[in-house]
Parts: sequence; C-alpha cells; structure tokens
Amino acid sequence: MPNLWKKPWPRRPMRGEVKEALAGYAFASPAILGVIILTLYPMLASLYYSFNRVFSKGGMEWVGLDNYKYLLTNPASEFPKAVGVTLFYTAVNVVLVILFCLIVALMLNRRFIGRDFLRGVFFLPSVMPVLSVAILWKMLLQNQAKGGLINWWLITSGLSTIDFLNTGYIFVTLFTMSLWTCGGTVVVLLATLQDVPLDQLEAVSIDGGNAWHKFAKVTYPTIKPVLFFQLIMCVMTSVQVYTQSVAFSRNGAPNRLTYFINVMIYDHAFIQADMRGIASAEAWLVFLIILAITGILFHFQGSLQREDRKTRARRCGR
Amino acid sequence: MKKFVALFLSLLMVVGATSIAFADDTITLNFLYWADDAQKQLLTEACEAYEEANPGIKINAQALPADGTFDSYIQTRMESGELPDVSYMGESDIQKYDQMGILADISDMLESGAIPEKLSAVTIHNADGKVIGVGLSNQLVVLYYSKDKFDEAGIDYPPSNVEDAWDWDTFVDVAKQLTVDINGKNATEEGFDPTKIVDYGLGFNCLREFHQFWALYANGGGVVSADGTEFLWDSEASIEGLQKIADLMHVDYVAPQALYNWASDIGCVRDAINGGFAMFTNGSWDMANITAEDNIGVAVLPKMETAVTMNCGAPMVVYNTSKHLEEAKAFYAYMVDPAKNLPLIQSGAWLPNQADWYTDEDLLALWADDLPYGAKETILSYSNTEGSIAQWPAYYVMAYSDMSTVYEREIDAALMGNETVAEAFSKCMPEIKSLFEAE
Repeated sequence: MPNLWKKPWPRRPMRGEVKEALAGYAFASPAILGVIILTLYPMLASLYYSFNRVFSKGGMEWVGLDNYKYLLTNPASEFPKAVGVTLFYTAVNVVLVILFCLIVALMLNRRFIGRDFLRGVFFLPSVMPVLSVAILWKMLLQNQAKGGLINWWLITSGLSTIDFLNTGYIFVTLFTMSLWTCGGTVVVLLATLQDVPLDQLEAVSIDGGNAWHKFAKVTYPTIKPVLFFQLIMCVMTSVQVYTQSVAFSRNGAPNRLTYFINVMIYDHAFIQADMRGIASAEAWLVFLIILAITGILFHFQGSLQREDRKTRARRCGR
Repeated sequence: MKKFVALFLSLLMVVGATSIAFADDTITLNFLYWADDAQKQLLTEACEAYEEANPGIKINAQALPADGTFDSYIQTRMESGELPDVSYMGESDIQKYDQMGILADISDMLESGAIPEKLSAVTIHNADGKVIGVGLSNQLVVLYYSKDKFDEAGIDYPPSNVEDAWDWDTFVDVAKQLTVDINGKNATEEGFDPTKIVDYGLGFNCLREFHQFWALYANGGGVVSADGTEFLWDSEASIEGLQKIADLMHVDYVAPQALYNWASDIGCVRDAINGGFAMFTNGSWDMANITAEDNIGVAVLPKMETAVTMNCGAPMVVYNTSKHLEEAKAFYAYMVDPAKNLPLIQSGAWLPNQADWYTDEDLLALWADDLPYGAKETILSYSNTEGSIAQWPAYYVMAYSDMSTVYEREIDAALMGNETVAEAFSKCMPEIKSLFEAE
C-alpha cells in the first residue's frame, strides 16, 4: 500500500544521485554554455544597445527611451510600414500555406498510380536553397523583353502582361514562391494523416456520411494539434522573411513593399551609419509583437486541443 | 603506443604553429573590390603585374558583388579590426566612412607628384579639405542602342555628339516608333496596346542615383550646385526633369518599369539590346561587355534644356588602420595610374581619370581606338565640351548618404506612377533640405 502522504520532492538526495546529476550537467554544459554565450548574451546586449545611440566607429551614448519614441512616433520612421507589410505577408502566407498543404496532403493520402512520384515532386522544391529559388523565379517573372517566360506566355495567349517584380504584384510572386516550397509542411501533415483511425472513417461511411463529414468529424479532430504546431511554425518563419526580399531588391523596392522587418533591421544595423541602437530597439519591439501574436494563438489552442473520448465527455458535461 | 601517438600529434601541432611564425617576410596587402566578369579578369591581371614588378609584395585581391554587400562587409570588418589595406569605395559612402575616421589622407601623394593631378570631377575632399580618394576611372551614363533595330525601322542612329543631341520630343518619338506590341503596332499608331508590348524602344538598367540625376541637370535643375552651396533638388526644373523620365514609363509607354533599387545585372546592356530593347541607358563601364558585339552602338543622352550626363567612378581609398601604410600607398598610386591599367581602359570598363588622356593625341591612340561604335566620339564629346558632365553630388556633398536614404523612401511611388514627382518630393524634400543645410 503506497504511502499517499509522503511528498516525493524535495528530499535529501542520496550520494550516487549527486554524482549522476553532476555528470549530467557536465555533458550538457557545452550546449548550456552555447546558449548563454551565443543567444542569451547577445539578446541582453542588444537590449542594452536599444537604450543607447550606437556609433558605427565605436562608442555609445545613453539616450533612454528615445529610440523607441522615434520608432513609434516620428513620421520619418519606417517601422510602422515595415511591421504592417510583414504582418500582412504573414497573415496571408500562413492562411494560404496551411490550407494549401492540408488540401495537398489529403489528396496525396489517397491511393492512385504515381502517388509516390507526386509526393516526391511536391517535396523536392523545399530542399532547394531559398536564394537560388528566388533568383530562378525572378528570371521567370521578369519583363518579357528581358526574357521573362511567364510574361511571354501571357502575351502569346492574348492576355496583358503583368509586372511581377516592380508593382504590388510582388506579393503574388512571394506567395507563389512560398507555396511552391512548402513541401516540408505537406510531409508532416501527410505523416499525421496516417494516424487517423480507419475504423472511425468506416463508421462514418456506414452511417451515410460523405467525404466532408469524414474530414470534419474524424480527420480534423485527430490532426488538430499538428495543424496548430505547423501554424505556429509558419507564423515564425513568415515573420522572419528576408532572403526573398533581398534577392529581388536589396532596398525593399517596390516602394518599400518588401522592406520587411528583418530587411530593415539588417539595413539599419549594418548598412546605414550610426543606427545600431535603433536596429536593436526595432528588434525588441518585434519580439514583443511576436510574443503578443503567439500568446493570442496559444489562447485559441484550447479550441484546437486533440479531442478524444475523455475531453469530449468533459465538454459534454458527463 | 597511445602515448607515442599523442606525443607525435602534439609535436606536429607545435611545428605547424611555429612554421607560421617563421613565415617569409612577404608583405601581403588586402585589396577589396567589386567587378563584373570582364573587370575581374582584368583587375586580377593588373594585380599580378604589380606583384611581378615588386617582389616581396603580395596582393590578396578579393571581389565582392557590386550590389551593396560592401557596406555590411566593411562595417563587420571594422568591428573585428581587420579592415583591408586598400579598397574600392562607393561614391556615396566615402564621406560616411571618412567621418568614422578610418580613411587615410592621401594629399601627400598628390603634393609630391607620386600621383599626378587627376580630373577634379573625381578627386574627393573631406570636410577639412584633405584628399581622401581619387576615382579609379571617370565613368559616364551613356545611351546604348541596337544598330539592327534602327536599320530595320529606317531611323538614323542616335547622335554621338553633344551638339547634335536629340531634343526630348524627337527622342520620345523615336522611342515610340521602336516600341512594338504583339499585334505589330508601334506606340505612335492607333490601336497600340501598352499592356502587350513585345519590344521596348528604351530601357533603364535602374533608376538609382546618377542613373536618374542626369535628367534633373539636363532640365536646368539639379541636386546640389557644383560649388556645393545651392540646393537645387526641390526646384521646379528638377521636378519636371524627373517627371519626364517617369512619363517615359507610364505616359509614353516606351520603357518598362524601373525603380530606385540596386541593379543586379552588370553586363545587362548586351542581353537587353540583343533581346527586346532598341535603346538602353547604363554606365559606360558596360562597354567592356559589348566589345564583341558589332550590333551595339554608343550615343549621347538626349537633351532637355541642355545635353548633360552625370559621372561616377568608384574611388579607391587607403585605410589608416593598414599595417603597411607606405606599401599600401604605393600600390594605390599604381592602381590609379591609367598607364598601368591600360587593358581596363582599352576595354571601356574604365575611362581615364586624367585630363591629358582626353586631349593628347598619343595618349588617345593608346586607348580610344578599339571602343565600340560611336563610343570614342561620345566620350570625347562629353569630356571636351564645357558643362556637359555634371559631377555626381556624392563626391562633394557631405550629407549625401543620409539625403539619399530619405529620398529612397519616397521616390519609388513617383517612379511607379502612383504619384506625381511633385507629390513625392513634397513628402521628402523638406527633410532632405534640412539635412543638407545642417552640414
């Protein structure tokens, strides 16, 4: 009969346990040191920089909250537009990618000839380096007089040409590139779909349900947690978009529409003079914004928790 | 056995370390530059020739792409204390880096005659009047054109002479005749569809800085007056000049959209002219990439009020953090001497940075005879006609870098046709003017 009143921790550790714990810490110490030196220290240093005016030739001058005030209130600051553009890209990109990958995964889950080949076809673009992909798409989408094949196809089909790189259509370019390279997400969703209980699917079709019922009542509740995880990952990577913007134009052209947060921070930290303090302040403001977004998403995670008999019973009050 | 292996390996490490310490006393100079393929080849040969002539000196030449990576590279090097000895520098960056205190003063070389007097247009002074760099070359914005397309259309080639430069209406009319849509109609004809253009009459490499500033000066305006005192950028003439360029894209439909961004296609003239463009503006450095093309000619830019082009030409600088300052300066004097870099000048990649090379017959014969069709006439016409080359303000306006950053924020809207140039200027000119007046 176990002693239900005995508290498990804390208690005096036995001699062998101390040695084991020390050995554990020793083995983990390179990783711990790595995190402290390469991640924690730079983060705290940049927090300190954000309250200073940092000169490119060296030296700092304490300015308190001036950098933050400049970013948020000064009309010359590009922070609001950069954040707006990044959040727009993130919002649309996440919705498109998750929907597209879900539909593709569902379709690739069926049995048909050539299914494995198609799975490879969808996955292959995601292993290509982003920069090469961006350059290839740029060559495809550029002006027809420079040899852009997509515009050639449009023009010979009797349609009007579209300037994909120098107008607002750059977002079409960016989203197309993003969808083309989301094979990784498709693979993860495909793996999760194998978990869906086949007997429940059968039960739904016996009861007279169609494909939509199968998806809504069986498939979706099973894959909810993974879908949420992919959502968070997609938000994280979308907010950090950088390579595509730089491949197309280093300065966020057209009209700063591709001047995303990372591009702006890099520009201010390493290309402009004396703006490192402002770049650090931008980075910390972005951190707070992403924290808020993640908090909101996790709040809604409750509605995405995996439903099984126990939680459903609790929900229905039994 | 294990102990023997451990001892042997540690001895090997020690020997390796000491062999580095006893390295031979060749002086290695780190030289940083940017170049397209043609220039890279020629520069490597120039460095090798210097090494042969100067045993004991080794040049470690490193090429970066010419698209803005330079800034981040230098700033990271500044942090780690490993700046190169000699490097190219962007014209719009040199004052910025001089204010950071890392550039060496080379006035002594000019005074002693180690470097002969260079064109004033490419001699750069800092705020104290010291010379901090001279342009390796003097490059100009010129008009490239396809002889075949002009022959087919039965139009005379653009003039290579400043006196005969086309006025703006003639230029736009010619460009329209050469802009053709998928139905075979050109831009002067009824039923022309600007959304289905197959061949353009004109193209721009990009519309960044000097690629568009020439239009402001040509219309009687400018950026800053040549003596650096008067702010011309917000004048009516400047606004009108730039509006004419924007209209080429959105009203006349003779050119595709170009923006105030970094051009990533060096060597683009050859591809453009052989592709779908009849005319193309770019810097004179692209002449090096068209030497094998009989079809491409070089002409002067069209005029508005006057026929004007703008110069550019990256200066070379010596860093005062160099451990071998004397040797670095000697290499510097070698690189900026046109006579030592003849292959680069003969190819057209560089234009000489000394006045006598444009007037002295013997010197001209050294470089000007193998240039593309019309190039020699164009270059000499610009160089020897008073007032036809406007100096890029980056050379002499201290606040240029900051002014350009503010301009960059707002100007794309005007170039895209979303706003008029006047509206875009009204958003940024007050701030730019205050930056200029603060200096």
